[in-house]
Amino acid sequence: MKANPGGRIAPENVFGRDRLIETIWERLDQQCVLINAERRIGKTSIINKMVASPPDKWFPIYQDLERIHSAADFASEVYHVVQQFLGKWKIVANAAQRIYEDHEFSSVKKKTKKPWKSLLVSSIEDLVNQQTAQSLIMFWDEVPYMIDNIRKTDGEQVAAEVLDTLRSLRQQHPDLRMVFTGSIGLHHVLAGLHDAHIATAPVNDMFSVEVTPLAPADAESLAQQLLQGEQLDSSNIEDAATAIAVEADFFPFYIHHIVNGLKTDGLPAEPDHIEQLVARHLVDANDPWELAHFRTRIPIYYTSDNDAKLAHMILDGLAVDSQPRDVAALLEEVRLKGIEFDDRENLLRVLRLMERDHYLSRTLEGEYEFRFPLIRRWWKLDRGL
Amino acid sequence: MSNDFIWRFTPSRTNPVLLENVFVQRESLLANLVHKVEESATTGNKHHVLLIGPRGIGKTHLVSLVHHRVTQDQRLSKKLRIAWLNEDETSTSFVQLLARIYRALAEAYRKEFPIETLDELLQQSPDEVERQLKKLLVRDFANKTLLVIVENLDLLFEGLRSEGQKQWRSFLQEHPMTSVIATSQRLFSGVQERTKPFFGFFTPIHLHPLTVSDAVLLLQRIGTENGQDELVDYLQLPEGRSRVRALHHLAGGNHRIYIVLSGFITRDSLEELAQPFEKMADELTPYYQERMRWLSPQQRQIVEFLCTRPSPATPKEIAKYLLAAENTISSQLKKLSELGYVFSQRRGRESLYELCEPLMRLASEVKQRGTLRLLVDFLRIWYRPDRLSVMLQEAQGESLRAHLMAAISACSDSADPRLAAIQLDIDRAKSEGRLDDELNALEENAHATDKARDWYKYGVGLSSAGRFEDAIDCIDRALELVSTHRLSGLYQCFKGFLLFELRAYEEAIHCFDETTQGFDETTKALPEDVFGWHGKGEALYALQRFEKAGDCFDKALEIDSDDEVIWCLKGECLAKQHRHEDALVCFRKSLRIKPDFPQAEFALSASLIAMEKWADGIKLLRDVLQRASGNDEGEFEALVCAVHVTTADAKRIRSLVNTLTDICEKAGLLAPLGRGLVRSLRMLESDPVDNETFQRCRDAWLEVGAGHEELEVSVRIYRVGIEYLITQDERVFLDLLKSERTILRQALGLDAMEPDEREDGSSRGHPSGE
Repeated sequence: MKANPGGRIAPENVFGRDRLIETIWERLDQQCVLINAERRIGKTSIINKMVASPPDKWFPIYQDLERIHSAADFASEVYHVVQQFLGKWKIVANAAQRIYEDHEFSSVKKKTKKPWKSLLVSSIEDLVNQQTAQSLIMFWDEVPYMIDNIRKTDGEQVAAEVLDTLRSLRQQHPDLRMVFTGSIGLHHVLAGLHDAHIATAPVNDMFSVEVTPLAPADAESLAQQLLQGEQLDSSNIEDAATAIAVEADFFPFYIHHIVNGLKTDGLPAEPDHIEQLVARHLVDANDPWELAHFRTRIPIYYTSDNDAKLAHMILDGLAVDSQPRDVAALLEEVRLKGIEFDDRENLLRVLRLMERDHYLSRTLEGEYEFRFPLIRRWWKLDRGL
Repeated sequence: MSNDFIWRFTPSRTNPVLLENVFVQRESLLANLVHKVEESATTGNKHHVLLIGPRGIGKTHLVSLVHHRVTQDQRLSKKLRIAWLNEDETSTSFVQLLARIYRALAEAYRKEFPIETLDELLQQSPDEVERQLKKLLVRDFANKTLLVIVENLDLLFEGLRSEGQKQWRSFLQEHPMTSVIATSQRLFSGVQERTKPFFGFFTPIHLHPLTVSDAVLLLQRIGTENGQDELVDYLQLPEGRSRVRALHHLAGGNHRIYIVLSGFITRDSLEELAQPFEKMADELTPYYQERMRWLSPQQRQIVEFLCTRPSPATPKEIAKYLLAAENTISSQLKKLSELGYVFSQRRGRESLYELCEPLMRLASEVKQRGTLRLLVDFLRIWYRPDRLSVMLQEAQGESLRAHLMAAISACSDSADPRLAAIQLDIDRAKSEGRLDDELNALEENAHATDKARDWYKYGVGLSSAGRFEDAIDCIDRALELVSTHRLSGLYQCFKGFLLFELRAYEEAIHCFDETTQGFDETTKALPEDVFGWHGKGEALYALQRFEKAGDCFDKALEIDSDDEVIWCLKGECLAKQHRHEDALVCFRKSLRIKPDFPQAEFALSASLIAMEKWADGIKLLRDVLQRASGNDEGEFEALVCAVHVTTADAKRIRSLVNTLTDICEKAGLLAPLGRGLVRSLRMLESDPVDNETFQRCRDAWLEVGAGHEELEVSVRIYRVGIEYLITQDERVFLDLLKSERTILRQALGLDAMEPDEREDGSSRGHPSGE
């Protein structure tokens, strides 16, 4: 297997996720699932693998929703994908098709107030109703992005309604399953809706699954496979694979990048070359590892100036000294920076958000630290600390 | 080679065999890309690659070769279909892109993708066309992979805009049947910004310009294609290479320019080429004018200024010319660098800026309607002045005549451009630690100038690469050319050190004598005189002529009494003569000058041990070993020897060996100790130690060494060495493995060849250096 950072990984080449996938399928027997994952951790590869090899009882459909900007677009996309599958069972007429044609979804004319809702519901119901031996499972990738886009285009109310409609579908069709995935936290999007005074808890019936980096052994296996696939020279391939896995913080994407970098630069796979390559990538102005978003998303996630400032201070402080800190120490650090701040509760709130956004994790003693050492290292370099 | 090849070099329309034959620099990248395509075609993995580089860097050439190799592979023909999109076409929607892909497939695979199918579909609404085309492609590629080759991806994205890009991205994501190889002149926002659909989608590969060596190879391959063996051979020579180096500074490593310039190099007549050269410049003009329009006025000024410059410029120089503040210019240069117009190189503390695309300079000159400086510079670099005059007499065309006259005029007005180019490359290679490149440039420089100083510099460079014999050849040439006695002395001294490195000690002494022979009390001593005496002393020391060596060091100290190294060496000579009291004085003087000087500390402790001042000696040894790196291997040799000569008492010997080993083990220096143990045999051969003492030392080391794996081999070699010193019979060597016997022979200064390998079958050789 060759290194392929950013490219599509064949399901059979997805490493170290079998246990997780098994867990998700088991959970799907009971309820729908919300997969939350940091960028570049491999969630799309996991979904692809699930879609490629589902257990017999499931009929999976996959859609990438990042490009969807409105409720009408969403409904239209779902409609079309359903039509493809309905076509397989030679269903000529169906409710969704009638609604689609009636409302001319290909143009801007709409004859009822919320045609998108009818279309969406009918599309799903048409497909659900046609399934006999198998249960329908919709794998929807980047749902938070779509909801956020809908919020910007159609308003908070419509965004909330899309989520509520999907929830309603889940409740009405107990065998229907949905898997939402997102690399931005859905909690941020929902917070935006709450800020608009829209009370909604549209995913509280879904089980949340966190995708973590690979286990060390799996990361090393992946690295070794790639090194062999690229036919790189190495005095000890196991040592090289271990070095790569550790430097990449066990993220598959970064493992691919490192091996690709060694190949492109014509370097042998030796620990010192690996270390130097990673060091170069971390300061490369082109940001090949796409780490800059950890910085640029702060003002987007933490919309109040105070929260954003606080988040920066916390990360700066934790980056300089790799030791975990408790809340009291962090509070003291904030005060020492001369900021007028005396709100422990506020600090806790931001810390919890940062935990959910994968910046931080907590030790068993309740102290906070960077969740990913790689990100700490990059943050320190990027901020010139 | 076709007449059209040179100025209408369009890789996508060129015979692939020709493309293969002139392909340089990127063989491994090409192989990697082909493997990625193979993997995309034969597995579920799909690779998407973006090749990035300015115009003329060879993107299309590379992509053409990928296409060629992949289409030649029978195994892939069943699994892969290639849609190579026409780079001049624009798409403003996703459905248009799909149609383009289909058309490209129809052109390559008529039967499988009939164009009539598309024509029929196009009668419908765009939405329906899109749906149907998607369905068609998904169906047709159910068991195959579609490779889309698209050039100028940034322009495609500009046309598609956000909506079209998103649709394409979703299509690629939801129907994983496609692999994309794209090219672009720079990283652009469509693939760099997180909010864009194709963010992180492609693996970017930045293409690098040709190096000088690559350029030489390219021109050689073109020459081979044309059957021009003389040219190929000429390019191997330093003179040929130096001309290519100067061209490299013009062309900036740009493949396209080399292809064009090769037309001038590989032809006998230049008449019909001046015009195509101008034509090429004309064709590029609209593109570069457009690029200039993207810039702010001040940025345009900076680029225009750099277009007029034959060499890179500092921000200060630019600011001065443009009458602007330096920090403003620096800020603009940073932006221009990010946009891919300029790049910078460090020269010491300065940054120098030059154009990323030298062809931009060409397009700028065309507007001025005079001679093209690029062509004038090329003529000046490639042809000697006398040859240019002959060519001028033969030239018919007005344009060519004008360029030749300008070149001849430039020859008389300014220095040989090759030399400036060479010096720049020497400086760069040196600052970047690229020794091989530096040596190549030094060689060219020496040949170009044929000056003593430059041969000397080349020799110095070769010596730092360990190529001592080649370095000596250079110094010999420098000595032939040198005009002053002083320089001659300096070069002789350096040659002496080179010979010393080659263990040619007698010859080295001769050179050092040449250095110092002019010195007497009435003459002002020069630094090289110290080196000369120092060098001679070291050579004599190596030949174990310690007394004479000491005399040389005395001479050196008369000139410079503050040299801690020479004091230490003098002390070592005295120690070798067992004059340890006098040696101590020298070591202490050395340490007064430089207190942290491990060599002197080691030697001092060895002398203390030899004088039976064990406590002081061991204490000092412990201190210095705590700080030692193990690089001072001579010192371990001295310590071991000191143990041998200090006492004949077996118990004491064992105690000393134990102590020494213990100290070295704690300092992690057992391996150097082992090496010193073996090297000490050479000293013991000339030291008056009786056989019993030899045996006691041997036994002590055997006993102590048994407990230390790191000493195992060294002790074994040492044991056999001692046995040889006692019996003088080389047959004892057979106790060792061959590699160990070689080490022992070297340690004892014996002939490296074994008796059965010598022609005369002699059983004992002569120690080297005597």
